[in-house]
Amino acid sequence: MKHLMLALLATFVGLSSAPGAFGQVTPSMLGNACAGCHGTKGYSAEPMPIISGLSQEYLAQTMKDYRSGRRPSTIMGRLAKGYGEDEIEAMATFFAAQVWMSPDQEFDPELVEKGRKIHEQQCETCHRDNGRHSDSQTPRIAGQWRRYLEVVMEEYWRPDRKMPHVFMTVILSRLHSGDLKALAHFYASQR
Amino acid sequence: MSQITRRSLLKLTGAMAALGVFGFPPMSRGAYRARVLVVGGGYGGATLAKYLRLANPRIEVVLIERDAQFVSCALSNEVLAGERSMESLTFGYQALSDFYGVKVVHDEVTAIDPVSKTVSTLGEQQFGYDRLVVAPGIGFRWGAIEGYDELATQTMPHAWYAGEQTLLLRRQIDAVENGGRIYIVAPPNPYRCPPGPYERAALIAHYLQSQRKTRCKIIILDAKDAFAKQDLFKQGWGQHYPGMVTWVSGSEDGKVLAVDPPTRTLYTEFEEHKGDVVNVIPPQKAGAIAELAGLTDESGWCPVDQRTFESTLHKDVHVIGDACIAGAMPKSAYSANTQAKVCAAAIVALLDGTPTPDPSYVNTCYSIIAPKHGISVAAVYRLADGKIASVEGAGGVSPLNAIAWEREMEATYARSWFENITSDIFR
Repeated sequence: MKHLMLALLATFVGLSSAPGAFGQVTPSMLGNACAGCHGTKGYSAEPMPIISGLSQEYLAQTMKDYRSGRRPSTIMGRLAKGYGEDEIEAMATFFAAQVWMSPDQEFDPELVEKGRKIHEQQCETCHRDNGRHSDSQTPRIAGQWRRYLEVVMEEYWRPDRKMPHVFMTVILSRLHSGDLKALAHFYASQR
Repeated sequence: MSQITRRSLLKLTGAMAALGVFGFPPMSRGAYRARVLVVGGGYGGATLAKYLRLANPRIEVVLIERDAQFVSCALSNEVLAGERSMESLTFGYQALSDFYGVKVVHDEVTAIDPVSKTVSTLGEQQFGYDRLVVAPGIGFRWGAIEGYDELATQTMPHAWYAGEQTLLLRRQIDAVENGGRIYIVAPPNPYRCPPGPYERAALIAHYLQSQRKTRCKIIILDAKDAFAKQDLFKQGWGQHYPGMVTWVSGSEDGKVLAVDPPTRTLYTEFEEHKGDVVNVIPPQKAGAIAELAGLTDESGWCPVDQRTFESTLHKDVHVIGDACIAGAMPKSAYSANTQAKVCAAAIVALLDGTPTPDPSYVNTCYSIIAPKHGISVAAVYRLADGKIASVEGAGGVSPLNAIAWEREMEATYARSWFENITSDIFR
């Protein structure tokens, strides 16, 4: 029983002492190294995106997109190139194993209502359940940091930024910058 | 905004805490399987203490730190820029003891005996250990520049330990008249925060510019012929502070050999320079306790097994952070943070008698040139033939041709890096 508890604990809090197969870096070894920018276990401080509890497939694909340059970045591309396929999968597993936590953050109730309407008309088809839905194509955005959402929507919106999901580019190009702000407030208000 | 970390960890570990596995009070002293002593509570030591406790609450972790609070050197150039308060750089050890069960002792270590495995302090305390981690940061080579000693720091601050020195330099810069000359003496390699002196030049220029003192000159006298992110810094200086920042390389007679503190005069081989403000960042070595404990080699730094950070000079003693020799990794806060995690995982395994896990290390160093102009260097590291080496084809510096929006984002990410890394350690 005691051993089971300790084993559980080690898995739960990461940094397991058990080494992986020879030559394999453990998921916690990889994931813990990201914390300098992404917070402990991916619970980032604003405006870094919270990455804990997102879908494993989504996280792995995003890292691969950064690595190949399919998704532009300031620094993530340079870092992603340091990891092999297996390591990216392992890292994604580490963050996907965490539980999503929506942080407390400020939002403007009027903008939330405006954002809610835009969400219902434009976004709910994919970002179901007011943005809570998460799958291999769709990151959870309900409760994500508002400033991050603003940044990433601006990336999709900017003509000089070539982003991976064409569908997102098309949808966001129809919106005004005020709409993007309202959407960010809406998702920030969701838990 | 950073409460999330604490709260989520508490939620995650709530069940365990209730069972008394987390935090030490419900267990008797004898319930610990081993004691790890950590000397120094900076970016390296404090991370190590927290991550050891997270990995295995049955390890008793005692952190001995001289100061009641930690003041971050990283981002302290923003204080000189007038863009940040000292308070925002200051962290307490409360969370480490309250949430993670680290026993924090505020005392100064005066001796380490690796044979009897005991540590003695100025407060006449003695601590035994199973494993010791020494994370003392840097020390200065007083006298390496003739005339630059501890007393001289009151006239010509180094500000390479943040705190009073940062504020002293800030006051001196504040008092400079338009047209004044500010010297920064940059040290030879290796030293803490390789891009730091050049970021400092930019942010002092930013401050002077905001005070409309654009006729001031900032002159960097360097012992070296090249420096970190050199092209990006030169581009940024020229773009934001035309004519204000000059860099003099070692081979252009930039190496300062002697100083005269009362007159704020610097002597190179062929010239003398008199400044209104003189910031001397002296040549460096491992923090004093490392040297005293016989953990340093002829280089002045601590040789370690780069897989576990165990000293190659003393068994069961590990050295992490600025003080250790860590292959290709620079002496930075991020390096110390990731070395601490590799070391923590190794210590857990060593105490268990299991093989130490394969390490993976990361470094990211942001520099801020102007409030909306950030640049970075990053790398992923692996162990290759016993040495930490950067993974080929990865990492590197920000592109020279980045658009303004990307520079602005990097400045935002620089500050966000600071929030995240300090949350990862102190909250």
